[in-house]
Amino acid sequence: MKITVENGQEMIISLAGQLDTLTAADFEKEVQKALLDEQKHIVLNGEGLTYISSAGLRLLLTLQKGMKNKGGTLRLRNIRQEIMEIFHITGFSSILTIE
Amino acid sequence: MAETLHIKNEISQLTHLDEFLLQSTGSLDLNPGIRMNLKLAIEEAVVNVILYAYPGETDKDIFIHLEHSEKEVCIVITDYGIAFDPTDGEKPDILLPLEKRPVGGLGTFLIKQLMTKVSYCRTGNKNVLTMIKKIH
Repeated sequence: MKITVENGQEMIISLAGQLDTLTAADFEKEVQKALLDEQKHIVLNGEGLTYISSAGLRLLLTLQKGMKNKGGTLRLRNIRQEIMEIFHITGFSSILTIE
Repeated sequence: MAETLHIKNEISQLTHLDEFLLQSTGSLDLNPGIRMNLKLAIEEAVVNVILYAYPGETDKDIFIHLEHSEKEVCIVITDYGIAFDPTDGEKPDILLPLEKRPVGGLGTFLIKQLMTKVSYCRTGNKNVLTMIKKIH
């Protein structure tokens, strides 16, 4: 999986490839960094994200909770249909902000 | 058409899943959603076995058997670890608001939601998890 982070007025984290049990460790580092950062607004670009397992869902929930706790926002963009299906099944579509 | 993948109880062995799935279902015209669902069910089930079936032990066996017809894919995961029925978990409340949602606990729930039929049996010292997905 490829993770790209762009810092500007908002932090844009782009994920490409598969977010599974193996690659979750890399994404977890970015999640921890983002939560410690002063940045209050994060956009997660899922244009290239083709797969997510429960390990990835766990991190999205951690990021969403952490951002809310520090008075910030997390928005997800360009989420593919097959990933959206997983968000619907797990109820994540109602607790994440998906544009 | 049937194939079996033999792996050991280490997380790094998950790298074999993609190639196995491609090899064993390559002749089927699966849409990306179904392909993803199959991988997801296998990953979640195998991760549970790797993390919990053989506490403190390494170099232990896990077998992933996949066979299919034109209509369905059947995946059987076998291990020789402690008895665990993944079909017997509590269903998470997916309607809870963000503040109350626990982090984790979605793996076995996803398996049951994404597969058409899931069954478990303990045979001797074996855990056998069978997952069937209708594809057409």
